[in-house]
Amino acid sequence: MSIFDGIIRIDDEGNIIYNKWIEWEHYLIVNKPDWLRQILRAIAALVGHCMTCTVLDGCYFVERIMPTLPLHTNCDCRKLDQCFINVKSNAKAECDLRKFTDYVFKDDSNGKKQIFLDLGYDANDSIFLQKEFCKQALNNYLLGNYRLKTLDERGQRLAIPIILNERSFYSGWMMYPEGLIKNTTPFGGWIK
Amino acid sequence: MKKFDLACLNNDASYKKFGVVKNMHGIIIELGQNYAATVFFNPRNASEFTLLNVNKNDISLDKEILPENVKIELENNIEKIKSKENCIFSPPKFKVYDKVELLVEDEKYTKFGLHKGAIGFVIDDDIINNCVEVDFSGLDENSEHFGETFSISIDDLRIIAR
Repeated sequence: MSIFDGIIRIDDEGNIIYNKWIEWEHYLIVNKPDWLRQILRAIAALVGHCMTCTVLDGCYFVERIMPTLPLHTNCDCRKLDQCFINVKSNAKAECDLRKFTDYVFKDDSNGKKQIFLDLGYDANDSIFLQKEFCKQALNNYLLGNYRLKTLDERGQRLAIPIILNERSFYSGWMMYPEGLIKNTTPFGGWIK
Repeated sequence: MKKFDLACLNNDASYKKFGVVKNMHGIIIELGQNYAATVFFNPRNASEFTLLNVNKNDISLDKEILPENVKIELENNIEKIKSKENCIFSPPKFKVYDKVELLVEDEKYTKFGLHKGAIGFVIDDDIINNCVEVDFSGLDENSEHFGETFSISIDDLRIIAR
C-alpha cells in the first residue's frame, strides 16, 4: 500500500475517494500514558464532562467517516487536521489470541465456531487468524474502509471487512487514541 | 512532594483492603508530616475513586505533571474527592469470556433488539458507568447472523458459565 492509497483511492463502485484524516480533540485529556489518560477522563467525568466525548480524544478518523460533531450541546470536542503519514506510522491493530482460542473455537460460541470451521479454519489456526485479522483490519482502516457502529462511554466501535477464503464479513473493533484499533469480536456478519 | 503531584504506589500492604494495589497511580491532594492524602482512581472501573492517607514512603513521584487546568478543576471539586475517603474499590464481578445471560426486559436494550434471556459473552470486563461489554452476536437456526456488542449494566447480567 503506497502513501497515496491512503489518501486517494477508487472504491468498489469506481468512485474516487479522498481520505482527509482528523484527530478528535477534547479539553483536559492526553493520549499517553494510558494510566494518566484514564485519570484525566475520570477527573473530567467528575467535573461534568461527557465520557463519550473524552473517550474519543486522540482518535484518528477519516473526516467523511467520523461521529457527528458536536456530539451534544456545549460540546468541548473539536477536530484537528492530521496528516496521513502520522496516521500510518502510529496506527496499529491488536487482536487478543484468546478471541480465537477461548471464544470463537469454544463449542458454545453462539455459532461462531461453525462459521470458522466452514471457512476452513480450526483452533490450530488461531495464531494465523490473529495475524491475518490485524493485517487486514489495519490496511482497511488506513484506507478508510470501515463503518462506524455504536459510540458510547467505552468508545467508538467499528465494523471492518475481513476476507478469508474468498468470503467477506465484518469484524468488530474498538477505536483508541493515535490509530490503535483492538478487535472486539472476530465475526460481525457476512458482507452481502 | 507537593499538592497535585502524580504518584505511584510502590508498597500496597496497608492499602490492599481498599482494592488499591502496587503500581496504581494517584494524585496527592494534601500533605501531612508522614502521610500524603492521595486520590486513586480504579483502573478497572472508570467511575470509582478513593482518597487514602498513604505513608510517604509507600509512594514514588511520577515524572508526569498534571496540567494546570486540571489542577484548577480539582481544586474546585475538592469536597467531592474528600467525600470518597477510604472508599473500597468493588471487586471485579465478571471476567473476559464469561458466558452471561441478560436478566431484564428494558427499553434501553430492546431498542437494539436485545431481550431478556439473551445469551452473550463478556468481551471487555473493565467497568465503565457500571457496564461491561458483551457480545450478543451469533447465528440463528437459519444460519443468519444477528446481534452485535453492547455495554450492559453489570446488575442486569448473570454468569452462566466461566
